[in-house]
Amino acid sequence: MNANDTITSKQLVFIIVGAQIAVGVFSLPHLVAIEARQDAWLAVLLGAALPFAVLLIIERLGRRMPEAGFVGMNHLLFGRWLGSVIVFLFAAYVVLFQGIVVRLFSELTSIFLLPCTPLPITIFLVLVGVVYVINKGARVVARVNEILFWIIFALLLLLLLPLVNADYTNLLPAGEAGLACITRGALVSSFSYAGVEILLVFYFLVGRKEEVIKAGILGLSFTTVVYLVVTLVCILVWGHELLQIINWPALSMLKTVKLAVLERPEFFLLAVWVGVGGVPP
Amino acid sequence: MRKIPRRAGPSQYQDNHDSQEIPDSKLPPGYEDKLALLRPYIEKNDDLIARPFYLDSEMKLQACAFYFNGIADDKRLNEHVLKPLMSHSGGWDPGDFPAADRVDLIVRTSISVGQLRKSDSFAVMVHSIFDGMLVLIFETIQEAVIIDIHGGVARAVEEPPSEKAIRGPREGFIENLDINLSMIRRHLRTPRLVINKTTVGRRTRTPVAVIYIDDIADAGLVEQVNRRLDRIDIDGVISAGNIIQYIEDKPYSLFPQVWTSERPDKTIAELLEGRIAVIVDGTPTAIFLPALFVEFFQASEDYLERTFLGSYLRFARFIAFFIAVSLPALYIGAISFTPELVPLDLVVSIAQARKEVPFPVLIETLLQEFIIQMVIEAGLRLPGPVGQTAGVVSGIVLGQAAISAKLASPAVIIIISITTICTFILPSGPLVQATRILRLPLIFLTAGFGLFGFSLGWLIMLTHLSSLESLGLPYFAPFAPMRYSDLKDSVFRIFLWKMDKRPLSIPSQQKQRQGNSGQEGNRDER
Repeated sequence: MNANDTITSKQLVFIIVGAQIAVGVFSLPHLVAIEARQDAWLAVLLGAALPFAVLLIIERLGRRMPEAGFVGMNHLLFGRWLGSVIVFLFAAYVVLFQGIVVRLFSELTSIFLLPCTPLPITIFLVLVGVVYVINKGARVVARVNEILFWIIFALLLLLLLPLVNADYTNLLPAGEAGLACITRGALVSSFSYAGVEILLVFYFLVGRKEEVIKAGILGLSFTTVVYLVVTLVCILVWGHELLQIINWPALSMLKTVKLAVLERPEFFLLAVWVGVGGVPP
Repeated sequence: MRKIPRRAGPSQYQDNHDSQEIPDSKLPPGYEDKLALLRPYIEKNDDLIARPFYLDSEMKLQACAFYFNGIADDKRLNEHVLKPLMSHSGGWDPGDFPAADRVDLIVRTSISVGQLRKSDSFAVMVHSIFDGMLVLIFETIQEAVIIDIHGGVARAVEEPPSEKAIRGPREGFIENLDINLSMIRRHLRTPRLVINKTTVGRRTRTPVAVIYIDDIADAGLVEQVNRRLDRIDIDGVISAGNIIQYIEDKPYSLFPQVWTSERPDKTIAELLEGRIAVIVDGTPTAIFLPALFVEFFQASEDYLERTFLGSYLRFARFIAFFIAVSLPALYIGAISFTPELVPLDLVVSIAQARKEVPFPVLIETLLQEFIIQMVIEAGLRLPGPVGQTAGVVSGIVLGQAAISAKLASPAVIIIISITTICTFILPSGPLVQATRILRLPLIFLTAGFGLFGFSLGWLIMLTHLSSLESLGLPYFAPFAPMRYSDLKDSVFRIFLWKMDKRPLSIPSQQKQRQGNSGQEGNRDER
């Protein structure tokens, strides 16, 4: 492994956040609300349990063979042949998963920003950005995610704007959906939490392994807070009946706000989100 | 047909130069032998003066002085070298002493010039003559005496026109390396200041000085700079600009990876932060390595003004950079893709103004942008007041005429003017030049794909910035990788007494830089 490709544990926080938060956040409240209704926010909170478990398992695994590398680890665990097959399967999974993300993001862009451009061209453009970033290696991916982290942070504040139309009774009665529905909602939300598995690869690139667990928890917590806030705001603004109909509630609710210079903040948000959605590690 | 080799390898280059190589032999003791050796190198040069004279009263010991007319300082040559030598000021004849001691005796008693050395190498002697030294050869003495009495005219020290400061020193570098170095020494008096001189360029043999502070600058970086300078194997160095292009990390990038300044005060500030300065003879510019992206936004007045004003101006510069790079693109994107983004009244007024313009927004913007760039270039080359007039006249007249001829809408003129002004707000020349090009790809991307293309362009630009390195250190440093303590001197410039550490982004041996950290105001007790 190239010595130039090590990252710091601080950067790992940003990478995990960058891997998890992508295009899913816009539709997350809608998808979860279908299952868990006004308790969608509880479901999102519960859904965070799964990635936390995954994080702990990966960390334990990595600690046993800190220098192995992802491929080496699989070879150690499963032997040469089976290990290679599993590495291949993992790669296929990542490609498939990120393919879905790119596709979703391109469709969203297509609908909101470029209605006349054919979808393949939009997809191609998104891929150009993604490939360019990844081509530069792990370090640069980490640095870019670091910048994007602050952009996500700033955009989150934008998402708080619709709160002027909030109605807290939309949250009531809390817990009415029942444990079964909330659990099902949590399972739906865990799709949005996916991305933490890239730690399997990035664990071995971190310089100080003992800080991985702290960084992982920090990153995951941030994602959880982001999802929780977005879901809460969406429920507060739309109410769960509307939420179940609107495809991208987080984007659409920005339509309700009017700023002095920005007539349609949702365009702005989506345009800036190109970086966020477009950079999977 | 003869095949032209695609790349001249080092060996071919060597061949070309063989006739130039000077044999590195020892000098013979005889006077005539030395002259015979030297003759092929000097006989074609009419401006070389060979002045023979005798060293002793019996006219047995012949000597000769070689120097170039106009390079050597006549006054020092006559009064401190030739006169004492010819008048036997020591009151003795060198012939009375053994040959081995003679040269030291002559040097110690009869030459009253400070910079002087001896050499018995033929190559050193020839190079010294052509470097502009005064070279003395003597009968029976093997060594030649090489004396530095460089004279001639140098430009006066003036305020650098491209880096004017309202407050702070008005000194600027000039073309003479020694005077430049003296300006630094005069204001930075630590014994730890190190100045190393090398020569670069096979034929120009340009002196290049590497300057750093011994106990601050990182030793590895110094070595790296020296290695990069040594690796340069070119015919001639015309200006520091040549050197920069050979020592930067990524020549394919649009961003300047080397900081330059014409101000000694800035140079000292950079040295104190652990950077390494390179000054090339013949150019009034110092080069600093490693460079960071933020540095191109730091003007030397930022630190001299009061903190709040300094911070405000710093912040304004970052905004100006964003505007300079993206305003034309944003205009195109907003007008032709998402007019919904802009408040309704503004869209209507822009649309009305654009009604009679026959071109698409892209062409209109590019046309104006191109014209403005031409006006700037024209203003640069014309002599002072004429250039300004040309700029103003062409700006106002062309702008007005373009609007009335319906070639451009007033909006686009405003957009391009704001962009141009914002470009020249940036305090550093190299970044201004980069900005002028950077906006073009963004314009095209946005014209093709609207705000999406705009964001994609910025994403690629940020990625590129994050991947750039200067001397192997991350170029975009206090932002990515984030170095929180260095942010004190980035988008804002906080109180000087709070910046008690040297920038972390530049490795240095001594992190602490001041003792009165946390000194908040002065309250003397009575």
